[in-house]
Amino acid sequence: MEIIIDIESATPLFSQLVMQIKQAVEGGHIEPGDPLPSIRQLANDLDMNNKTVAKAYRLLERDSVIQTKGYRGTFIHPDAKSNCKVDLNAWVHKELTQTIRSFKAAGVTDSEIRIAFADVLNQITGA
Amino acid sequence: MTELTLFMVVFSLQIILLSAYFPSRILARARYIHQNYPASTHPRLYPQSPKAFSRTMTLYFWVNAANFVLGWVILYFIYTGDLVGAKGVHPMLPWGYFMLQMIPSQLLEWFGFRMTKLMKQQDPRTFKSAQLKPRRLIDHVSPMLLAAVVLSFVGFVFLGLFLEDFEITSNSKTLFMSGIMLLGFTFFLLLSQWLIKGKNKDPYQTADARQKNVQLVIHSFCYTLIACCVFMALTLLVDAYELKTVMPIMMSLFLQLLVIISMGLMLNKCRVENIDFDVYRAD
Repeated sequence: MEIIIDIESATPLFSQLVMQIKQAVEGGHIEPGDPLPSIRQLANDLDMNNKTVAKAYRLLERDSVIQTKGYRGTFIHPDAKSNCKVDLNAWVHKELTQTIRSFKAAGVTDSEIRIAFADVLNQITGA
Repeated sequence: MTELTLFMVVFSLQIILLSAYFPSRILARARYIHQNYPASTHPRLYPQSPKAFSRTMTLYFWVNAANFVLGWVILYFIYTGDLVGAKGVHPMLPWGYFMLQMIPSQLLEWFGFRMTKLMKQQDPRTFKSAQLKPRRLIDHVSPMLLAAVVLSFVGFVFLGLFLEDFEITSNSKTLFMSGIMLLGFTFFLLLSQWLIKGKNKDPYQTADARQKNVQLVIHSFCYTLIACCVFMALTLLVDAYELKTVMPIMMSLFLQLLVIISMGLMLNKCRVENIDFDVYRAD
């Protein structure tokens, strides 16, 4: 299975990588349990920074599409096929839309929402 | 036949093999590429200019020719006795000459490195591709060959310990040589990992072609390590049985063997006719 990255595309490189790995899983080109190349190998092959590939792998691991088994390497998650369909971005958008709509209905202004959102985010992340 | 005469025969072979035979094969290969894949149809193959390619090959020819002449001059002085000491020919003489004989190959390596760097800089494609499959050492070399490398090392250590009556002292020659061999093993292992997982130097080379190339190089590493173990074992035997006068002969034969299993293997297994040059064609 070959992945192709367009370095001049408007889509960030890590997103292209995440999308293509998910597509490969959904298309059955790679099966659960299959090993993936190391971050260094993939970064070298695609002429990318190691951090970019690491970021893509981190996101895929968060979505349970891949799993890292210590020194043995990175593998496709057993539930990768169903997990690929979960779109966290779409879910965040949906939840936020509902919440913001209810604030607006109560008469909260845009700037109040922005300030409150930033405060809560800072509290949670500890920034 | 005396040891000196035998050495002269072996040294003549070293001159012919390393400064005439292999260089002529490499030059024939370069000529074949230049004639069958010219810059007009395969511009990607010549990132600098076709003239730079010809210039390097001419330089390669002349450095080898100079080494060839120098070899016969050395042999002449051995014949006249000027280069023969009380203990015969110095065992490091074939090694020193070998170092000179390797200069043209280093020149080609350096030229190749520069060309691939330029190829990368001039590559207009915005698409990069990669195989979604890990590359491992065992995908490139059979476990049998790896086992043979380890066994040859174990054999060498065993022979060394046997000759030293299994008494390990701090000034043990076996211990020292084993240390050097282990350093060699580590070096080749790191180099193999770099070749397997590192950046592809040639941007147009396909994954398949790269795999075949790396496989060949790692095979030659394994054969080199086995040859080194055998040579070290023979050195111990030479020491033990006080046959130091045959040391220059062994050294020369060992160096020739090294070139046969590295350059010879590459030239025979990676035939120029089988290389896919279409990747260097103009779009």
